[in-house]
Amino acid sequence: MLFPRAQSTTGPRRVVVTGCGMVTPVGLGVAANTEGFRTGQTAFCPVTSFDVSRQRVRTAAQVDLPDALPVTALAPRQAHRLDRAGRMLLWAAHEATQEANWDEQVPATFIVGTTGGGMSLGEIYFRTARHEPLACRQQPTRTIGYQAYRQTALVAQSCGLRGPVNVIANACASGANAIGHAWELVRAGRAERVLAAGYDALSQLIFAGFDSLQALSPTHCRPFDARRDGLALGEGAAALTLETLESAQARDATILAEITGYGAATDLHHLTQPHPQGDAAVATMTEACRCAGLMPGDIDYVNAHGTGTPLNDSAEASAITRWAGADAAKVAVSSTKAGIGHLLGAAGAVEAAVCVLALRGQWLPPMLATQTPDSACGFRIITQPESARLTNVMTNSFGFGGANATLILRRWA
Amino acid sequence: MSGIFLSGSGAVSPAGWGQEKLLVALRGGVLPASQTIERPGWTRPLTVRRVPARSPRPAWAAHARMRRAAAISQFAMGAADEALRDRGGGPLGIVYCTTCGCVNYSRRFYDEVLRDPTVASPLLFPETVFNAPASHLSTVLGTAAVNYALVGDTGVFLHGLALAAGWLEAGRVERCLVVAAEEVDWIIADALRHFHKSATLAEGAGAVLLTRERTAGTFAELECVTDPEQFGPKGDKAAREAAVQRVAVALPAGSVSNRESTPIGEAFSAGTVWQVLAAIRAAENRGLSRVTVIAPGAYQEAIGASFSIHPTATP
Repeated sequence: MLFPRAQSTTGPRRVVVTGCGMVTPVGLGVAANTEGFRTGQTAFCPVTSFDVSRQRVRTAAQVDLPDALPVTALAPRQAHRLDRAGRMLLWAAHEATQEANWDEQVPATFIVGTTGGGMSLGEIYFRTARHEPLACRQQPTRTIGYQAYRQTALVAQSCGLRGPVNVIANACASGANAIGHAWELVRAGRAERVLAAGYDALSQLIFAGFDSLQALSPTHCRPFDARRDGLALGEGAAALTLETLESAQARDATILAEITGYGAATDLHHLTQPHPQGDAAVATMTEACRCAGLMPGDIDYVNAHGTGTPLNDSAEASAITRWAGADAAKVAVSSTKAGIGHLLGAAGAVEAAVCVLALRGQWLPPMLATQTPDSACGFRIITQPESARLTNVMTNSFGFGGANATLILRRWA
Repeated sequence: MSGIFLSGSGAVSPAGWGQEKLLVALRGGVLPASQTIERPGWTRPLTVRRVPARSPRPAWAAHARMRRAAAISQFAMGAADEALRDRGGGPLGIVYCTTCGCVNYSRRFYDEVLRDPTVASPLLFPETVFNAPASHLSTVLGTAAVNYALVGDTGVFLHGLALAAGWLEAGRVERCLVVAAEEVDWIIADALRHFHKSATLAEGAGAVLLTRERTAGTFAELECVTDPEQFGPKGDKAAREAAVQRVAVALPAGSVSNRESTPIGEAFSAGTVWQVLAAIRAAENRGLSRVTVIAPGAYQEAIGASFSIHPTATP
């Protein structure tokens, strides 16, 4: 039953990560991404997925996605129906579940965040319907394949997950909300195991949308730089397997990290602009710390939302500075969007995965392009690769519509 | 008993603004008039059922957020406003559910992009995101509490009820609005005809206010929401029927099953809310203590829910 569900009678349970999968413009798989994010690799190039010849900006961070898919329980014909976004999700989910080595007989819930789902199929559907109005071939398949819920269900099937599926579409906070919701389910004893993921592929509609808002950087993405002039778009997917500490220990699984806090709130200021002082961001960071039983001074690193737009970064800088208070100067902050752009619905999941990698490797992901930190930043900006002693790290995700989310992860040692 | 109460409800449908208009239309069997919309490239139009214009204009329509908001947001707000008759109370969470989403503005914006991206409207784009209506709801209702937009098959509203019930049980919020909304556009009507040639696309919204405490407006209690039963990826009729049967088995015995979608038309997630409201009203009128609803799904899964009726209250 989705409701009522069994609940823990012994208080909140500890939730750990036992599998991680990543597909980003930096590379396919955790190994490639670990090195890329540790060194601050950037992956921007001219967009080739669709026509950008009439756009103001023509670059983004694209995934070098192989034609072949990993061998899964999905029949080749079904796998063929996945579009680019769905295939990235499959890659990430497959890597995470392989690492977790879950027994398929134990039902696992699948919670996914996305903004566009199968948008590329929707675009093809529209172009065909508009320009070949009598054409029917493949239009039904595109109609179904466009649905994010269908893609997610197919990927769940491919990974042998037999539990419920949920798709959260909270714009650019979707991936963080998916992990946060998964954490809440496991922590409360409502689910034993959850695969949480975020995914999005570049699409013409969304690229043109951000360009129409003049939100895209005509130069290069420089989060928290005084001369920042916009964001860059990217694409990708990440997935984390979440389960109780007891479950992981009972089966002797390798624990990658522990998730200890989550906060979600809604910024009512504007549909596309954050409150100038980042009130909702302060609320989610504070709530996540309360869940984790931590004070701001206990947080060693903040993976900021840090899009590189003037408005987001000034609001987030204000929020982090207010939230951290007297400890602000000690907090290390960077945004991995500097290297891979804004992955929209995938961003929160990918950035949480980067936090897992950083905790494991004890390093801070740098923003090489940020040369002159904005004076509003009352914290330490990471612009060069460096090692660090990390115990608790935080990741922020903010989206259109005011969807704000914060996660806290702890090193497992 | 779950202790999760349905304490307010609202609907916007082709029958009009307000759930009584919907329920009267369903009970009397007098369907709202259909309309036709142009399908570019065709000489023959598509038949749909649209929500009529509202008169007088509600106060919330003057809110800055609602002036340019898409029809789907207007419908969601109308249903939410009716469900939240009593604006008082503690922190209010929002779960917004949809199957097709903000297709009208998405289609218009993409059409503009293909014609000339340099003049594609930046006013349209933000309204294309799935959670735009959810954001408008939070802002107009003045609640900064947690707000999720769920996307799924026609039964996504029942997923939303389960999510909201979990938030209430955890003490995350004291009240939670669960809203589902859809809007008509020629591209959705065009897609629908690939699967159901005789189906009529409909639009509108439905909303339910869930609370932890019984209130004067309480009319039912949420007993359970089943696990979804998948019938994809092939989605043939036999697999779909088998999924429905599995859901039926999971529901409490002795209940009245109402698994038919409303005859008003295919309104996807919104249609499931209408189905729930109509089933509860019908059960109440017949003096029954429980009703179950099964959403058979359009392309992926069937799911069901059970409600106990509170006979002393009026929905």
